Amino acid sequence: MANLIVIAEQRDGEFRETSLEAVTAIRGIKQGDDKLSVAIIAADPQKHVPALSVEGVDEVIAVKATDDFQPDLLEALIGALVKDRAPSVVAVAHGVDAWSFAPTAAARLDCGLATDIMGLKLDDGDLVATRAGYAEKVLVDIDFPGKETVLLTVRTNAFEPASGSGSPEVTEMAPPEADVATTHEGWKPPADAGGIDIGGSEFILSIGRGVGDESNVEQYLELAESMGATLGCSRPIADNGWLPKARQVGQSGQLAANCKLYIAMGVSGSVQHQWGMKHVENIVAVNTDPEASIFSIARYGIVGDMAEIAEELENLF
Amino acid sequence: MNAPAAKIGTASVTPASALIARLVEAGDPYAALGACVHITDATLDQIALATRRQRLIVAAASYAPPRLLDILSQDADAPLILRLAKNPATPADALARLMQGRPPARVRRYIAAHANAGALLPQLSQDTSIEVRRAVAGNAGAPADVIARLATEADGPIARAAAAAPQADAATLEHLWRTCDEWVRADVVAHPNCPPGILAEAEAQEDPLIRRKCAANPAIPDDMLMRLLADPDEQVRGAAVRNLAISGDRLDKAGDPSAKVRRLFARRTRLARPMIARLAADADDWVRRWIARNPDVPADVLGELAQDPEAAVRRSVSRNPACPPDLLSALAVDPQPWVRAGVALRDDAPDAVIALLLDDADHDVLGALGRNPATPANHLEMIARHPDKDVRRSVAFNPAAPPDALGLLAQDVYPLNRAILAGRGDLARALALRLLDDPEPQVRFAAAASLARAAATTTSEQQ
Ligand SMILES: Cc1cc2nc3c(=O)[nH]c(=O)nc-3n(C[C@H](O)[C@H](O)[C@H](O)COP(=O)(O)OP(=O)(O)OC[C@H]3O[C@@H](n4cnc5c(N)ncnc54)[C@H](O)[C@@H]3O)c2cc1C
Repeated sequence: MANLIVIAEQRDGEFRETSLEAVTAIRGIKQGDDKLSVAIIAADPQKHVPALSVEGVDEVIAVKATDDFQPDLLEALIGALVKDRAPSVVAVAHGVDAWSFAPTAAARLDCGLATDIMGLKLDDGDLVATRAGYAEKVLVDIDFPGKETVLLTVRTNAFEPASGSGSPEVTEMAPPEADVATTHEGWKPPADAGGIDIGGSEFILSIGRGVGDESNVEQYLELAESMGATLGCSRPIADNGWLPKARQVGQSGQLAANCKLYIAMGVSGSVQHQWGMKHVENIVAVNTDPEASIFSIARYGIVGDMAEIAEELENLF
Repeated sequence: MNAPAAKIGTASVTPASALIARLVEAGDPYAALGACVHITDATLDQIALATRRQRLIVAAASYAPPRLLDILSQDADAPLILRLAKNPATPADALARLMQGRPPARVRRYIAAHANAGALLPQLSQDTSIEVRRAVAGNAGAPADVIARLATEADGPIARAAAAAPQADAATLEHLWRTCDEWVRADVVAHPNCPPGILAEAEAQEDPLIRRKCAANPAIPDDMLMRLLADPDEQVRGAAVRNLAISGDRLDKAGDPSAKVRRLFARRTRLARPMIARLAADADDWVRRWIARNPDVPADVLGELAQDPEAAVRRSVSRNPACPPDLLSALAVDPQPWVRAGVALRDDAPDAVIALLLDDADHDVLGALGRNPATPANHLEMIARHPDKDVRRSVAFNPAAPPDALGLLAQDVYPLNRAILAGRGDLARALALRLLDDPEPQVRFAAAASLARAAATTTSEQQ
């Protein structure tokens, strides 16, 4: 029997759905009498038990402490669970929170570590995690020879959130001793994006400097609306004040996290822009320069004037 | 090899010799390359091209001076040849040199598409590779006789490229109209050199694509365009409305049943006053958004549009060059930040309006103020200290930014902010010298380019 543990997260008392995606990842390798436990630290952990009572979860470990984000406390919790239960896997949703405790925990406890995984399986009984490598250009399978415990951070949106009802036992656990070195100053909500949601949009039409002039931008807002897309842009367009910063895609802008179709018009495809969109499965690039880098990541490419292509699209929608 | 390390004095311009000496001493290939863009110096050229990696970078860089690309073409191997053939800055002589080395078809195709390949196009139009000939047909510089010869080939991509070629003559277009499919014919009727006979035939075609392209032709006869403005197909009418061959004041005064077409009316200038009023009261949000941007709209109509329930319409008014100061004052307190940001971008906004916006906390508003030459200097300095890096960067784009604010940006922790600062055409010498030691190659490149530009300008003025 193996112990499998997911560290669930809440933010400001609100349960984070991404924890259920980590549950799905781990449920996929659960075998026979393996035990899947989900631990959560919160001011009122019992309130999160219903959300965690999903199919396949055998136990909820409720740690009554604080709703504040305390990476040291989370790290100490992992340490205590590894010591007491010798789990084969500890998983947590990948993200800025996990970055601040998962790698240090893995290093201190001498666990195996794979971050941002998008696949997980058992190969002849050995754990194999899949993640992207070389700037998302290849998929890498990682195994963990000789490691009794492996710590995994699970990429968001790579697994469906776990569903189906379950009736886990609830174990109360005292918060572990932790050398808390950080103070939680409170949550700062992201700046009001005026209803613009690049991260949540499945279809983005993005414009770059090829648009030429501010007076042309309105045309693409209209086109995006008629096509049912969200209008995104490259950095110079936002820097010029032609579109709000909330529409900027890229390293210093937004990540097109849920995008399935990305049409880039007049965008050269700098590494910084690609950071926000190169993972999108269907990228269509429109550029007058056949050598533009954007074509190297596009599934479909049109060498042509974006104004002409936009006019043709306007006729279709 | 090294020139004696010259003293860089306190004058406002570093003399070219002193700059060269400093760059040679530093031996930094990025700074040397930046200077090479404006100054010709063999030692700097050598530094810029010192390593293989550096030569590959320069060969692919569209900002590289043609002189260096020419040097590289003199003993280029295959990877360099490919980069040079693709580089839009490669000069004609260098391309000719590459051709002398009998490059493979892939390279010839890039040369055939190159904007500087004019003299080589007749030769390339007879190339054995169809891809090369297609590239010639798609080259905007291809002369009429070359296009005419290529158009006789029975090849779809060549025919389409020939029909869209700027220099295709009437006889070639006639040939393509008679022999090709509807897509090529559509390009033929959109061509300014399309013979009138074909346009007349096109106008009578059932296929709306052909009539639409005909309506888009900038050389279309006036009466034909007027008829197409009343075409039963909205796309044809739309193309006619877009056609600048007809003046706005002659556009349909009775309106159009299609909102899509009315949106296009609203984008045209020189519209008649009654039409402007009608469009400003249109039920379609997009028609009002467009007309609110139209610089011909009189102040009273703009005043009504400035109270539109749609924030996007109000934003359009804020960006309308004809928007009067009192409306700007009203829009400066709009509940929507994006409307206020539109006002904050205006360099003609009265001082009182700018003052009103200076207390705004929204980052788009502050970013717009940072760019705005009308923003008072002390506030620009405050914006240059803002915790948000994007807000700080806006000051680097401001032509009126005071030296102190720019000095802050020269120390900004965010590299992009220093890079934008270094790229300013009017970068003060002291800042440029400081940025010459920046850890970011892009910043050093731009700083050296700035110093070299100033030195070159001074030298040419003295001559
Ligand atoms: C630290 C840092 C962070 C950055 N963060 C970001 C970021 O988050 N997002 C971002 O986008 N950038 C970011 N950048 C900037 C980035 O490096 C590029 O400068 C920027 O992405 C370029 O934008 P662009 O593609 O619109 O413009 P350009 O690179 O100028 O490209 C314009 C393209 O339009 C094409 N074109 C021109 N006319 C037409 C036409 N009529 N039809 C079709 N195509 C046409 C041209 O061929 C060209 O390829 C960052 C840079 C740094 C250093």
